[in-house]
Amino acid sequence: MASENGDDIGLAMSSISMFNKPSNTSDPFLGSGWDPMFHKVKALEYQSHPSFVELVPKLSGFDCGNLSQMAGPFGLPQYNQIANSRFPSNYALNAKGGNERGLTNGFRSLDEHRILEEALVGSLPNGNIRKRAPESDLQPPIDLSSEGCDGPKEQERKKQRTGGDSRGKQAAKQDKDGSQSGEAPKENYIHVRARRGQATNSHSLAERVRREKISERMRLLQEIVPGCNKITGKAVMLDEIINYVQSLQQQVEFLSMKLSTVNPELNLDIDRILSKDILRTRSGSAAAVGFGLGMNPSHAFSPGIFPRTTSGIPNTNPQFPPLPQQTMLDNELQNLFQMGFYSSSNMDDFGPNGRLKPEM
Amino acid sequence: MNNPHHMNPRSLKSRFTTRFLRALTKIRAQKPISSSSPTEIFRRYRKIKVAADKSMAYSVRSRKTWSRAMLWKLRSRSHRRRPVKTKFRQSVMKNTKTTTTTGEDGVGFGVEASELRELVPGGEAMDLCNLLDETAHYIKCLTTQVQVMKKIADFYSL
Repeated sequence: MASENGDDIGLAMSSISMFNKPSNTSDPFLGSGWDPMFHKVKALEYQSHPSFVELVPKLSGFDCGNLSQMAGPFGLPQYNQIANSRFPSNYALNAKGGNERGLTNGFRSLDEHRILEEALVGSLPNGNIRKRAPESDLQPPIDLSSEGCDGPKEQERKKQRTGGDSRGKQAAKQDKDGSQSGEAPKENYIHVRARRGQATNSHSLAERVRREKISERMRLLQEIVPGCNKITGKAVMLDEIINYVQSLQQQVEFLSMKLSTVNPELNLDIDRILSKDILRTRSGSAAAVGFGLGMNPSHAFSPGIFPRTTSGIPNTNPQFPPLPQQTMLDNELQNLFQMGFYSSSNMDDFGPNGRLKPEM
Repeated sequence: MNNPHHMNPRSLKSRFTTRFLRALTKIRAQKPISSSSPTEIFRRYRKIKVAADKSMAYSVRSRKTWSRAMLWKLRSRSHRRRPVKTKFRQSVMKNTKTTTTTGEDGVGFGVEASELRELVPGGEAMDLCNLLDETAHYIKCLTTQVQVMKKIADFYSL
């Protein structure tokens, strides 16, 4: 039986016809567990094509990723192609070398139909080509933790649950080893996680997951840090991030220095108004930031700044005590303050009556 | 544009603002700013900076690694009587630093990542993935801090 089917490998129809034979043949692979599998698969209502159903447990025994490709259109023509490309080698392997492997896998998967479900569903989200509605119905049962036959399922679980990581890796490794003889290209095609031509061992897969996570975070950071839209490249991006964080920290220092030189002439109720005022968001601080940074801190801390800026801005609070000294830097600082610090961030907030009046 | 008077009282910004203002008034109440000697100013600057960092870290509590690390640092600094603790912590950090940085996958982030770790508090003991997470949150908090402090400074500087 096996050899006869092996001869017909080239023809998809023949291989399909093989599976059209009744399931109670004495095929060593399609053995006792066939019927229950068959029925359960049918119960899935995944599709109604008999040959597909019969083929499914066979392939699930070896490599469930097959199903992702086949399960897509559920139509025979595609099924033909797939059967053509993959099935022969699959079957050949089962016929020849990996007998025990395929057999045990097959039986294992045959016994638990939920593996098939999982395989179908697990592969489906992995299938970066197709997505379809039925998979959502079958998503819940994915927490089965039995040894699967396929890498994609393992990878799926690996992604979803970090707890089962070691097991997933082991199983994936087993599969790879068992199928290594001449199946590498096929595996690359099936394991969607491992794209074509890439290594499929568990380490590189885990690394890929990690790298994807990192690049996702880098993208987020790219949105946060201003002016990083054009930057492609992680190193440059990191440099930008570092510069930005450094500049923010310097701003905090600068502002705290500024606050330390300020006179606490204001009392508590004004503080309350102040907090309300502060809580109003001002997003236009970029320009002010630039100016704030450009200013030499040593200049800024001379108390002479403040009376100058007081004169520059309309103010309804006349009881500010004049600050003692004035320096020669007043003019340029006044200009700086007026242009930088106030233009973008404050002027809009304050009505003609000055900043003590809440903006209406 | 009309802003509602009541911003979200639970937002990071409001939490930080209230805490920081409280700390500021406390600092101001300690000594009057009659003396403008540089040492006084410097001391006050340090206090204010610590207050800013502390109020930011307290606003985030322990939800983020960097805030925990910062709180730890601030507390250990205040308990500077015991140098042993800080030395121990430094050695611990060094050990963790070597183990985590050598365990990077070959993405080539080495130099910049170590710089970033120095910048973000508590960054030495994080892998790159978490480090980027923490950095994002840290940047958000820093921008809030800068905004609020700037407003306060502008207010007072009138």
